[in-house]
Amino acid sequence: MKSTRPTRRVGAAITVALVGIAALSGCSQVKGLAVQGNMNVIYLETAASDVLLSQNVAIEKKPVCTVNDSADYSCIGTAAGGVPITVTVPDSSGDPIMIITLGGKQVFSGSVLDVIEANSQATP
Amino acid sequence: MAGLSRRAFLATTTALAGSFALPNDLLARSLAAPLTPSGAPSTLQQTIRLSQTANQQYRNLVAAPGEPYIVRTDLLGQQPNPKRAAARRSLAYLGHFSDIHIVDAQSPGRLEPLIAVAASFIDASRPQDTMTVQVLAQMVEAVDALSTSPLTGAPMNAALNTGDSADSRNSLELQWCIDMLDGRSVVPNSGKRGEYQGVQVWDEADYVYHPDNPGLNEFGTRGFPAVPGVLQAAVDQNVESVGLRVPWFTVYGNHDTLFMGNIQVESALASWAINDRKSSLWPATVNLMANWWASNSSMFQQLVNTIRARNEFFAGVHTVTANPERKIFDQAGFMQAHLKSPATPGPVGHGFTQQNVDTGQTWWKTDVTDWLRVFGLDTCNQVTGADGAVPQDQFDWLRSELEQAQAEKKLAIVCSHHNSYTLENVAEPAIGPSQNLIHSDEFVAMLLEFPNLVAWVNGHTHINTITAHPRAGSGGFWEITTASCVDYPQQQQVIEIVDNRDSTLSIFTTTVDHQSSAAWNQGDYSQAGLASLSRQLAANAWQFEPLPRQGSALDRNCELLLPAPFDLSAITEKQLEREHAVSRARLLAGDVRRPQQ
Repeated sequence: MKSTRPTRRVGAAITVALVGIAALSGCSQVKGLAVQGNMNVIYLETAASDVLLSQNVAIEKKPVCTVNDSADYSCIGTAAGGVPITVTVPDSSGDPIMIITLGGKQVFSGSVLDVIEANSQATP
Repeated sequence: MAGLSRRAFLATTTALAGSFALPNDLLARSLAAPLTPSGAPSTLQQTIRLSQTANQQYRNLVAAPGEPYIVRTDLLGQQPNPKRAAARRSLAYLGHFSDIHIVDAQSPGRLEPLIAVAASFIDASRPQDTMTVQVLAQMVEAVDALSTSPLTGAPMNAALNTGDSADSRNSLELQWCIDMLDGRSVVPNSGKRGEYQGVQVWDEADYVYHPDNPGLNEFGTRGFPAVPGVLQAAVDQNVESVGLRVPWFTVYGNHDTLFMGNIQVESALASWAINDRKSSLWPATVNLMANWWASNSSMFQQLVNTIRARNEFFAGVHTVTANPERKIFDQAGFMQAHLKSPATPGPVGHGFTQQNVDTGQTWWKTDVTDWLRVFGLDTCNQVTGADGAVPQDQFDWLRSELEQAQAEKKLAIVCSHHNSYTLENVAEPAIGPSQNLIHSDEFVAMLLEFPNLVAWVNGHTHINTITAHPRAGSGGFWEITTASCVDYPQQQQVIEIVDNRDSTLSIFTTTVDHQSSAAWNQGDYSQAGLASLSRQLAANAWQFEPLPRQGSALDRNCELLLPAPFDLSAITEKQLEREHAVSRARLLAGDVRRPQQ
């Protein structure tokens, strides 16, 4: 069966990248060391799902994310009516920006860490 | 009771009254009442979030609106029937604990200076280390308050604990965990009564939070509060737990298997844990190591004498109170501790039997109801590494057992510590000689062979995560990972399986916050107050990436649909009501046993 999860080696590499990213972005909370395997894939799935929910997208299949040996992240999901959801992270070595498309149309472009930060706060 | 005739109802009541030592009329009144959804506090009504205001970077927590269930159809392949809510009946209702991580913060066997050595030891000290017993007590209270389902009113059948009960393989940590789940009281102090002896009051340990004087280091500059006397209050408190009223079952976590979840225990460490020297700095730790080696091998004596001549190696060694009860437990010791547990709430062994101890088989199965079989696996690696794998013998055993459960038309749940994101450990031999290790893809593929396997319940990453594993064609199973008691958001969950009576079933997951105020009130050192403070400290412990751990809304309060694996009408109303009667009688008996407030 084809691997749907990244290897620990790749996960560790991305972790290093994201730690650096978080420090550069000045994000006070969402930084640190992912000491267990593949945490960043979970974080990306979390952020992408919350963005889609905040846009009232009826999600049929939650985005599932993978990362390859070149540290390219991508996620695939489905919205109501079988409309495809895609998530990409064009450059995981810089500020990790994710781009979300719905049926081929871009519906979000922004920081993974900012989404996580925002969703952890009480709304005014 | 619609399913049972009057005669059958009376016979059932009489039998259960005898079994649970309850007055017949009291039980009859209770069982005659319809199932009513619980209104006990849960995240359906209120959640907890970070305040938008901060003291420097430190933020308090505040109450936030509740989260209704989100319907997830990832595995259904069709729109759910809108009439299912009116038709549903509860087949099973479970509590799920994981990653409790009870910490004996005063143990010399807890090597906090390792934080400075390797990132993989980051959890050698957390700001909230002294309050883990209070957190568990308040979590048990919260889960117990939900012993009646908030959805259907069905009684809880059992609870599952998916590992990492102890943090540092310390026997006291494990016993405190068991005692809290069983409903005993604990003074979480392995040292001297009336005193906290540990790195959080030793000034040279500038890598940890000092609540008496946070200005010593980065914790202070980030705005961590001054909480004078809290360490002593935490370790000197008699922590009372209401205990669970349902049988609970447990599996090994990597922290129950390896020291700090990562490395094998050397005999030196086993010796330090019970003795009276604790180090706060890395050179001092090295010195302790050298001393131990010297005392066990004379060839090192000259080297040790040289080392001891250097003052830097004396700094940071403190005299603490020795305690033989802090001994490091081994693999059999984990099971034996559970076998010493009382019959109520039980079961004795919590999944393990004397046969498990005798054979070294660290996995088990149990029928929670007549139609639900739960399998508890040991996915931990005994060589090295936090992550896990499934050894070949367990893999083969589980496949065979799932075949049998499917033939018997039983629903099945697998529980383990590790999840599909963290099942890639390749260190061998993990358990026993020459065990082939099965990793995530192969394990998931095997589980997908069995339509009666509806859920894989686990922990380890301390993140609320729900993953759909689809089967080619249709269906599949849900993987449900709960957060921990130690890291933010300090949430556990309850899980209910319902028959929608339309050839689908739903699994409802509800996250549970421990019973304590969202915002900590300055100066509140009560048991619930310390649990509240613990959550607030955890939310600000930046090193542990606290914020992503709550998961997305799709990972918390959800209705997870899937096709029914067989005709669920085979579970008759009569069977179901009899099972509910047993579980309600058990809860009532637990209520009666409790001291009245």
